[in-house]
Amino acid sequence: MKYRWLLFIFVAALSVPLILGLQSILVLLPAPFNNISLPVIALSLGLLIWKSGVIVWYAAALFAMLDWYTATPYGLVLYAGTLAMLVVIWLYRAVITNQGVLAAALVAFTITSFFQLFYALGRAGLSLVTDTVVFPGAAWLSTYVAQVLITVPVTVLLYVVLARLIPVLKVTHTHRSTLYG
Amino acid sequence: MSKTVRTTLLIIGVLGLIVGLRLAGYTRFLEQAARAVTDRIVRAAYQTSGAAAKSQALRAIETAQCLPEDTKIRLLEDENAALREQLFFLKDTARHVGAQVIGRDLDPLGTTIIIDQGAAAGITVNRPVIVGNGLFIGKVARVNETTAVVRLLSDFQSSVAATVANREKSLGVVEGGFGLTVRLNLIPQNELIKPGDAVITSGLEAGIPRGLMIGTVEVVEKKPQEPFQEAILNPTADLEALSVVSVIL
Repeated sequence: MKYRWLLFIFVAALSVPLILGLQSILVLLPAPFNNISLPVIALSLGLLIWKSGVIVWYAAALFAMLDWYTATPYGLVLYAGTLAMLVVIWLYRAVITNQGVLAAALVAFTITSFFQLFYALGRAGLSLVTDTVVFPGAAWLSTYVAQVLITVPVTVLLYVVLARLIPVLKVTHTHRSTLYG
Repeated sequence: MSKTVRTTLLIIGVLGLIVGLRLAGYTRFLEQAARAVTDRIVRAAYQTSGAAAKSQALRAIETAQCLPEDTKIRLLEDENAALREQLFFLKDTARHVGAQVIGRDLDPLGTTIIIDQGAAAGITVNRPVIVGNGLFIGKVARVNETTAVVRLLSDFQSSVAATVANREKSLGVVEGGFGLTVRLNLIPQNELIKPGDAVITSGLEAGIPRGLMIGTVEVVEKKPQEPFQEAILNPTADLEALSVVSVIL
Protein backbone atom coordinates (compact mmCIF):
# COMPACT_ATOMS: atom_id res chain seq x y z
CA MET A 1 0.00 0.00 0.00
CA LYS A 2 2.94 2.27 0.83
CA TYR A 3 4.26 1.93 -2.72
CA ARG A 4 0.87 2.36 -4.42
CA TRP A 5 1.74 5.83 -5.65
CA LEU A 6 5.11 4.67 -6.92
CA LEU A 7 3.37 1.92 -8.87
CA PHE A 8 0.90 4.49 -10.22
CA ILE A 9 3.74 6.77 -11.39
CA PHE A 10 5.52 3.81 -12.97
CA VAL A 11 2.41 2.66 -14.84
CA ALA A 12 1.58 6.22 -15.95
CA ALA A 13 5.14 6.96 -17.10
CA LEU A 14 5.13 3.82 -19.24
CA SER A 15 1.60 3.83 -20.57
CA VAL A 16 0.87 7.52 -21.23
CA PRO A 17 3.61 8.03 -23.88
CA LEU A 18 2.56 4.72 -25.43
CA ILE A 19 -1.07 5.85 -25.63
CA LEU A 20 0.03 9.18 -27.18
CA GLY A 21 2.11 7.33 -29.78
CA LEU A 22 -0.64 4.89 -30.67
CA GLN A 23 -3.26 7.65 -30.77
CA SER A 24 -1.08 9.62 -33.20
CA ILE A 25 -1.25 6.61 -35.53
CA LEU A 26 -5.00 6.15 -35.02
CA VAL A 27 -5.80 9.76 -36.00
CA LEU A 28 -4.21 9.04 -39.39
CA LEU A 29 -6.60 6.20 -40.17
CA PRO A 30 -9.32 6.89 -42.74
CA ALA A 31 -12.65 8.20 -41.39
CA PRO A 32 -14.54 7.02 -39.37
CA PHE A 33 -11.77 4.86 -37.87
CA ASN A 34 -9.74 7.97 -36.97
CA ASN A 35 -12.37 8.52 -34.28
CA ILE A 36 -11.13 5.62 -32.17
CA SER A 37 -10.21 7.26 -28.87
CA LEU A 38 -7.45 5.31 -27.21
CA PRO A 39 -7.53 7.49 -24.04
CA VAL A 40 -11.21 6.59 -23.58
CA ILE A 41 -10.49 2.89 -24.11
CA ALA A 42 -7.53 2.98 -21.71
CA LEU A 43 -9.52 4.84 -19.05
CA SER A 44 -12.54 2.54 -19.39
CA LEU A 45 -10.46 -0.60 -18.99
CA GLY A 46 -8.35 1.08 -16.31
CA LEU A 47 -11.46 1.87 -14.30
CA LEU A 48 -12.72 -1.70 -14.62
CA ILE A 49 -9.34 -3.06 -13.52
CA TRP A 50 -8.43 -0.61 -10.73
CA LYS A 51 -11.94 0.36 -9.56
CA SER A 52 -10.23 3.13 -7.65
CA GLY A 53 -10.20 6.93 -7.62
CA VAL A 54 -6.58 6.81 -8.71
CA ILE A 55 -7.89 6.54 -12.28
CA VAL A 56 -8.91 10.21 -12.07
CA TRP A 57 -5.27 11.22 -11.40
CA TYR A 58 -4.22 8.94 -14.22
CA ALA A 59 -6.74 10.72 -16.48
CA ALA A 60 -5.29 14.07 -15.39
CA ALA A 61 -1.76 12.95 -16.32
CA LEU A 62 -2.94 11.53 -19.64
CA PHE A 63 -4.98 14.56 -20.68
CA ALA A 64 -2.30 17.01 -19.47
CA MET A 65 0.09 15.43 -21.95
CA LEU A 66 -2.53 14.95 -24.65
CA ASP A 67 -3.28 18.68 -24.40
CA TRP A 68 0.24 19.48 -25.66
CA TYR A 69 -0.76 18.04 -29.02
CA THR A 70 -4.01 19.89 -29.62
CA ALA A 71 -4.72 23.27 -31.21
CA THR A 72 -7.08 24.45 -28.45
CA PRO A 73 -5.86 26.62 -25.53
CA TYR A 74 -4.01 24.54 -22.95
CA GLY A 75 -6.31 23.27 -20.23
CA LEU A 76 -9.47 22.66 -22.24
CA VAL A 77 -8.79 18.98 -22.95
CA LEU A 78 -7.24 18.55 -19.49
CA TYR A 79 -10.32 19.90 -17.70
CA ALA A 80 -12.82 18.15 -19.97
CA GLY A 81 -11.10 14.78 -19.69
CA THR A 82 -10.43 14.82 -15.96
CA LEU A 83 -13.87 16.12 -15.01
CA ALA A 84 -15.47 13.52 -17.29
CA MET A 85 -13.52 10.81 -15.50
CA LEU A 86 -14.56 12.25 -12.14
CA VAL A 87 -18.25 12.06 -13.11
CA VAL A 88 -17.86 8.58 -14.59
CA ILE A 89 -16.18 7.12 -11.52
CA TRP A 90 -19.05 8.42 -9.43
CA LEU A 91 -21.54 6.91 -11.89
CA TYR A 92 -19.64 3.65 -11.89
CA ARG A 93 -19.75 3.39 -8.12
CA ALA A 94 -23.31 4.62 -7.68
CA VAL A 95 -25.19 3.50 -10.79
CA ILE A 96 -23.32 0.93 -12.87
CA THR A 97 -21.83 -0.95 -9.86
CA ASN A 98 -21.10 -3.95 -11.99
CA GLN A 99 -18.65 -5.38 -14.43
CA GLY A 100 -19.09 -7.22 -17.66
CA VAL A 101 -19.59 -6.39 -21.31
CA LEU A 102 -22.47 -4.01 -20.61
CA ALA A 103 -20.52 -2.19 -17.90
CA ALA A 104 -17.54 -1.79 -20.26
CA ALA A 105 -19.82 -0.38 -22.94
CA LEU A 106 -21.55 1.97 -20.49
CA VAL A 107 -18.27 3.21 -19.04
CA ALA A 108 -16.81 3.90 -22.51
CA PHE A 109 -20.04 5.59 -23.60
CA THR A 110 -20.26 7.81 -20.52
CA ILE A 111 -16.58 8.82 -20.64
CA THR A 112 -16.95 9.79 -24.32
CA SER A 113 -20.23 11.60 -23.68
CA PHE A 114 -19.09 13.59 -20.66
CA PHE A 115 -15.73 14.40 -22.25
CA GLN A 116 -17.46 15.71 -25.37
CA LEU A 117 -20.02 17.58 -23.28
CA PHE A 118 -17.41 19.34 -21.12
CA TYR A 119 -15.24 19.92 -24.20
CA ALA A 120 -18.13 21.57 -26.08
CA LEU A 121 -19.10 23.65 -23.05
CA GLY A 122 -15.47 24.72 -22.62
CA ARG A 123 -15.20 25.69 -26.28
CA ALA A 124 -18.49 27.56 -26.11
CA GLY A 125 -17.27 29.44 -23.03
CA LEU A 126 -13.90 30.25 -24.57
CA SER A 127 -15.51 31.41 -27.81
CA LEU A 128 -17.20 34.16 -25.80
CA VAL A 129 -13.88 35.56 -24.58
CA THR A 130 -11.48 34.84 -27.45
CA ASP A 131 -11.63 34.80 -31.26
CA THR A 132 -9.19 31.91 -31.53
CA VAL A 133 -11.78 29.34 -30.47
CA VAL A 134 -15.15 28.80 -32.11
CA PHE A 135 -18.00 26.54 -31.10
CA PRO A 136 -17.72 23.47 -33.31
CA GLY A 137 -21.47 22.95 -33.92
CA ALA A 138 -22.26 20.24 -36.47
CA ALA A 139 -18.64 19.06 -36.67
CA TRP A 140 -18.72 18.38 -32.93
CA LEU A 141 -21.94 16.37 -33.16
CA SER A 142 -20.67 14.19 -36.01
CA THR A 143 -17.36 13.61 -34.20
CA TYR A 144 -19.20 12.66 -31.01
CA VAL A 145 -21.51 10.19 -32.79
CA ALA A 146 -18.60 8.67 -34.73
CA GLN A 147 -16.52 8.40 -31.56
CA VAL A 148 -19.29 6.60 -29.70
CA LEU A 149 -20.03 4.26 -32.62
CA ILE A 150 -16.36 3.33 -33.03
CA THR A 151 -14.83 3.57 -29.54
CA VAL A 152 -17.54 1.73 -27.57
CA PRO A 153 -17.45 -1.48 -29.68
CA VAL A 154 -13.63 -1.46 -29.67
CA THR A 155 -13.65 -1.11 -25.86
CA VAL A 156 -16.10 -4.00 -25.53
CA LEU A 157 -14.02 -6.14 -27.86
CA LEU A 158 -10.85 -5.42 -25.88
CA TYR A 159 -12.71 -6.08 -22.64
CA VAL A 160 -13.83 -9.51 -23.86
CA VAL A 161 -10.25 -10.37 -24.86
CA LEU A 162 -8.67 -8.98 -21.68
CA ALA A 163 -11.27 -10.61 -19.40
CA ARG A 164 -9.86 -13.98 -20.48
CA LEU A 165 -6.38 -12.88 -19.44
CA ILE A 166 -6.95 -10.67 -16.39
CA PRO A 167 -8.98 -12.34 -13.61
CA VAL A 168 -10.05 -9.02 -12.08
CA LEU A 169 -12.02 -8.21 -15.25
CA LYS A 170 -14.12 -11.39 -15.08
CA VAL A 171 -17.81 -10.95 -14.30
CA THR A 172 -17.57 -13.47 -11.48
CA HIS A 173 -14.80 -11.54 -9.73
CA THR A 174 -16.03 -9.81 -6.58
CA HIS A 175 -14.62 -6.64 -5.13
CA ARG A 176 -15.26 -4.55 -2.03
CA SER A 177 -17.46 -1.56 -2.77
CA THR A 178 -16.45 1.71 -1.16
CA LEU A 179 -19.76 3.42 -1.80
CA TYR A 180 -21.31 2.70 1.57
CA GLY A 181 -18.11 2.81 3.57
CA MET B 1 -18.28 19.04 3.55
CA SER B 2 -18.43 15.49 2.21
CA LYS B 3 -15.37 13.59 1.02
CA THR B 4 -16.64 13.57 -2.58
CA VAL B 5 -17.00 17.37 -2.68
CA ARG B 6 -13.57 17.82 -1.08
CA THR B 7 -11.94 15.47 -3.59
CA THR B 8 -13.71 17.19 -6.50
CA LEU B 9 -12.55 20.62 -5.32
CA LEU B 10 -9.03 19.27 -4.80
CA ILE B 11 -8.91 17.90 -8.33
CA ILE B 12 -10.28 21.11 -9.85
CA GLY B 13 -7.71 23.05 -7.81
CA VAL B 14 -4.83 20.84 -8.96
CA LEU B 15 -5.93 21.19 -12.60
CA GLY B 16 -6.08 24.98 -12.16
CA LEU B 17 -2.59 24.89 -10.68
CA ILE B 18 -1.26 22.82 -13.61
CA VAL B 19 -2.75 25.24 -16.15
CA GLY B 20 -1.68 28.34 -14.18
CA LEU B 21 1.91 27.14 -13.71
CA ARG B 22 2.14 26.25 -17.39
CA LEU B 23 0.81 29.63 -18.51
CA ALA B 24 3.31 31.33 -16.19
CA GLY B 25 6.10 29.20 -17.70
CA TYR B 26 7.12 27.48 -14.46
CA THR B 27 6.62 23.98 -15.85
CA ARG B 28 8.72 24.57 -18.96
CA PHE B 29 11.66 22.51 -17.72
CA LEU B 30 9.43 19.60 -16.74
CA GLU B 31 7.48 19.78 -19.97
CA GLN B 32 10.60 19.88 -22.13
CA ALA B 33 11.97 16.83 -20.36
CA ALA B 34 8.72 14.91 -20.84
CA ARG B 35 8.30 16.11 -24.41
CA ALA B 36 11.80 14.95 -25.30
CA VAL B 37 10.30 11.48 -24.96
CA THR B 38 6.71 12.00 -26.12
CA ASP B 39 7.67 14.10 -29.17
CA ARG B 40 9.95 11.31 -30.34
CA ILE B 41 7.20 8.73 -29.92
CA VAL B 42 4.63 10.89 -31.73
CA ARG B 43 7.13 11.68 -34.52
CA ALA B 44 8.10 8.02 -34.90
CA ALA B 45 4.43 7.05 -35.03
CA TYR B 46 3.71 9.67 -37.71
CA GLN B 47 6.75 8.79 -39.78
CA THR B 48 5.97 5.08 -39.79
CA SER B 49 2.36 5.74 -40.73
CA GLY B 50 0.92 5.61 -44.20
CA ALA B 51 0.55 9.37 -44.45
CA ALA B 52 4.24 10.00 -44.07
CA ALA B 53 5.08 7.15 -46.41
CA LYS B 54 2.90 8.81 -49.01
CA SER B 55 4.90 12.01 -48.84
CA GLN B 56 6.68 12.97 -52.01
CA ALA B 57 10.13 13.21 -50.48
CA LEU B 58 10.05 9.75 -48.97
CA ARG B 59 8.54 8.32 -52.13
CA ALA B 60 11.36 9.84 -54.14
CA ILE B 61 13.99 8.39 -51.80
CA GLU B 62 12.39 4.94 -51.70
CA THR B 63 12.02 4.86 -55.47
CA ALA B 64 15.55 6.07 -55.95
CA GLN B 65 16.88 3.20 -53.85
CA CYS B 66 15.39 0.58 -56.18
CA LEU B 67 16.06 2.12 -59.58
CA PRO B 68 19.04 2.05 -61.92
CA GLU B 69 21.69 4.76 -61.71
CA ASP B 70 20.46 6.95 -64.59
CA THR B 71 16.93 6.97 -63.23
CA LYS B 72 18.27 7.93 -59.80
CA ILE B 73 20.09 10.87 -61.39
CA ARG B 74 16.94 11.95 -63.21
CA LEU B 75 14.94 11.77 -59.97
CA LEU B 76 17.57 13.75 -58.09
CA GLU B 77 17.56 16.34 -60.87
CA ASP B 78 13.79 16.65 -60.56
CA GLU B 79 14.04 16.91 -56.78
CA ASN B 80 16.78 19.50 -57.12
CA ALA B 81 14.62 21.52 -59.51
CA ALA B 82 11.68 21.39 -57.05
CA LEU B 83 13.89 22.51 -54.16
CA ARG B 84 15.33 25.35 -56.28
CA GLU B 85 11.79 26.39 -57.16
CA GLN B 86 10.89 26.47 -53.45
CA LEU B 87 14.12 28.31 -52.66
CA PHE B 88 13.46 30.96 -55.32
CA PHE B 89 9.95 31.39 -54.03
CA LEU B 90 11.13 31.76 -50.45
CA LYS B 91 13.96 34.15 -51.47
CA ASP B 92 11.34 36.77 -52.29
CA THR B 93 9.67 36.51 -48.91
CA ALA B 94 11.10 38.29 -45.87
CA ARG B 95 11.98 35.36 -43.59
CA HIS B 96 10.95 31.77 -43.26
CA VAL B 97 11.58 28.72 -41.11
CA GLY B 98 11.67 25.19 -42.46
CA ALA B 99 10.00 22.60 -40.27
CA GLN B 100 9.26 18.92 -40.27
CA VAL B 101 5.79 17.56 -39.58
CA ILE B 102 5.95 15.37 -36.49
CA GLY B 103 2.31 14.43 -36.12
CA ARG B 104 -1.35 15.31 -36.35
CA ASP B 105 -3.62 16.86 -33.77
CA LEU B 106 -4.71 14.16 -31.34
CA ASP B 107 -8.16 15.72 -31.19
CA PRO B 108 -10.19 14.16 -34.06
CA LEU B 109 -12.35 17.26 -34.23
CA GLY B 110 -9.51 19.39 -35.56
CA THR B 111 -7.58 19.08 -38.82
CA THR B 112 -4.20 20.27 -37.72
CA ILE B 113 -0.58 19.15 -37.85
CA ILE B 114 2.25 19.50 -35.36
CA ILE B 115 5.62 20.80 -36.60
CA ASP B 116 9.03 20.59 -34.94
CA GLN B 117 9.69 24.36 -34.78
CA GLY B 118 8.13 26.77 -32.32
CA ALA B 119 8.57 30.05 -30.49
CA ALA B 120 12.33 29.46 -30.19
CA ALA B 121 12.56 29.73 -34.00
CA GLY B 122 10.52 32.96 -34.05
CA ILE B 123 7.20 31.39 -35.04
CA THR B 124 4.12 33.24 -33.85
CA VAL B 125 0.38 32.57 -34.09
CA ASN B 126 -1.36 33.18 -37.45
CA ARG B 127 1.83 32.93 -39.55
CA PRO B 128 1.16 31.33 -42.96
CA VAL B 129 2.54 27.87 -43.66
CA ILE B 130 3.41 26.67 -47.15
CA VAL B 131 4.78 23.68 -49.00
CA GLY B 132 6.53 23.49 -52.38
CA ASN B 133 6.36 26.53 -54.61
CA GLY B 134 4.20 28.67 -52.35
CA LEU B 135 1.25 26.33 -51.84
CA PHE B 136 -0.66 27.61 -48.84
CA ILE B 137 -1.67 24.85 -46.42
CA GLY B 138 -2.76 26.77 -43.33
CA LYS B 139 -1.86 29.05 -40.46
CA VAL B 140 -0.10 28.57 -37.15
CA ALA B 141 -2.76 28.07 -34.48
CA ARG B 142 -0.73 27.47 -31.33
CA VAL B 143 2.94 27.88 -30.50
CA ASN B 144 4.98 26.01 -27.90
CA GLU B 145 8.67 26.47 -27.19
CA THR B 146 9.92 23.89 -29.68
CA THR B 147 6.79 22.85 -31.55
CA ALA B 148 3.79 24.54 -33.15
CA VAL B 149 0.33 23.43 -34.22
CA VAL B 150 -0.69 24.39 -37.76
CA ARG B 151 -4.40 24.64 -38.58
CA LEU B 152 -4.87 23.26 -42.08
CA LEU B 153 -7.11 24.85 -44.71
CA SER B 154 -9.63 22.04 -44.34
CA ASP B 155 -10.13 22.57 -40.58
CA PHE B 156 -13.63 23.68 -39.56
CA GLN B 157 -12.13 26.69 -37.80
CA SER B 158 -9.93 27.75 -40.73
CA SER B 159 -10.58 30.92 -42.73
CA VAL B 160 -8.34 32.99 -44.98
CA ALA B 161 -8.89 36.03 -47.19
CA ALA B 162 -8.56 34.98 -50.84
CA THR B 163 -8.90 36.26 -54.38
CA VAL B 164 -9.82 34.45 -57.59
CA ALA B 165 -7.53 34.79 -60.61
CA ASN B 166 -10.47 35.85 -62.84
CA ARG B 167 -11.15 39.09 -64.72
CA GLU B 168 -12.75 40.83 -61.72
CA LYS B 169 -10.13 39.54 -59.25
CA SER B 170 -13.05 38.48 -57.02
CA LEU B 171 -12.42 38.64 -53.30
CA GLY B 172 -13.79 36.12 -50.83
CA VAL B 173 -13.04 34.06 -47.76
CA VAL B 174 -11.83 30.47 -47.96
CA GLU B 175 -13.25 28.33 -45.17
CA GLY B 176 -12.74 24.70 -44.15
CA GLY B 177 -14.94 22.20 -42.38
CA PHE B 178 -16.17 20.27 -45.43
CA GLY B 179 -13.95 17.20 -45.43
CA LEU B 180 -11.06 17.35 -47.85
CA THR B 181 -12.49 20.25 -49.85
CA VAL B 182 -12.68 23.91 -48.87
CA ARG B 183 -15.19 26.60 -49.76
CA LEU B 184 -14.76 30.10 -51.10
CA ASN B 185 -17.55 32.26 -49.68
CA LEU B 186 -18.71 35.87 -49.92
CA ILE B 187 -18.15 36.33 -53.66
CA PRO B 188 -20.55 38.96 -55.08
CA GLN B 189 -23.20 37.48 -57.42
CA ASN B 190 -22.31 39.74 -60.38
CA GLU B 191 -18.74 38.45 -60.65
CA LEU B 192 -17.94 35.60 -63.00
CA ILE B 193 -16.01 32.63 -61.66
CA LYS B 194 -15.72 29.28 -63.36
CA PRO B 195 -14.30 25.81 -62.62
CA GLY B 196 -10.55 25.74 -63.06
CA ASP B 197 -9.95 29.31 -61.87
CA ALA B 198 -7.00 29.56 -59.50
CA VAL B 199 -7.58 30.92 -55.99
CA ILE B 200 -4.73 32.65 -54.15
CA THR B 201 -4.35 34.51 -50.86
CA SER B 202 -5.47 38.10 -51.28
CA GLY B 203 -2.94 39.76 -48.99
CA LEU B 204 -5.78 41.58 -47.21
CA GLU B 205 -5.16 39.65 -44.01
CA ALA B 206 -2.41 40.75 -41.65
CA GLY B 207 0.69 38.58 -41.92
CA ILE B 208 -0.48 36.61 -44.97
CA PRO B 209 1.29 37.74 -48.17
CA ARG B 210 -0.60 37.95 -51.47
CA GLY B 211 -0.16 35.24 -54.06
CA LEU B 212 0.11 32.01 -52.07
CA MET B 213 -1.70 29.34 -54.06
CA ILE B 214 -4.73 27.89 -52.26
CA GLY B 215 -6.47 25.78 -54.86
CA THR B 216 -8.65 25.71 -57.96
CA VAL B 217 -12.39 26.14 -58.33
CA GLU B 218 -14.18 22.79 -58.71
CA VAL B 219 -17.85 23.79 -58.59
CA VAL B 220 -19.61 27.15 -58.45
CA GLU B 221 -22.80 27.35 -56.36
CA LYS B 222 -24.93 30.30 -57.38
CA LYS B 223 -28.36 30.86 -55.85
CA PRO B 224 -30.23 33.88 -57.27
CA GLN B 225 -31.97 34.69 -53.97
CA GLU B 226 -28.70 35.05 -52.08
CA PRO B 227 -26.39 38.07 -52.17
CA PHE B 228 -23.21 36.02 -52.52
CA GLN B 229 -22.15 33.00 -54.52
CA GLU B 230 -19.93 30.18 -53.25
CA ALA B 231 -17.36 27.93 -54.83
CA ILE B 232 -16.03 24.54 -53.79
CA LEU B 233 -12.25 24.44 -54.12
CA ASN B 234 -9.80 21.64 -54.55
CA PRO B 235 -6.70 22.52 -52.48
CA THR B 236 -3.53 22.42 -54.58
CA ALA B 237 -1.38 20.98 -51.80
CA ASP B 238 -2.01 17.41 -50.67
CA LEU B 239 -3.08 18.07 -47.09
CA GLU B 240 -3.05 14.37 -46.24
CA ALA B 241 0.63 13.81 -47.01
CA LEU B 242 2.72 16.57 -45.49
CA SER B 243 6.27 16.00 -44.37
CA VAL B 244 8.29 19.22 -44.75
CA VAL B 245 6.74 22.70 -44.58
CA SER B 246 7.90 26.31 -44.36
CA VAL B 247 6.53 28.95 -42.02
CA ILE B 248 6.71 32.49 -43.41
CA LEU B 249 7.69 34.88 -40.61
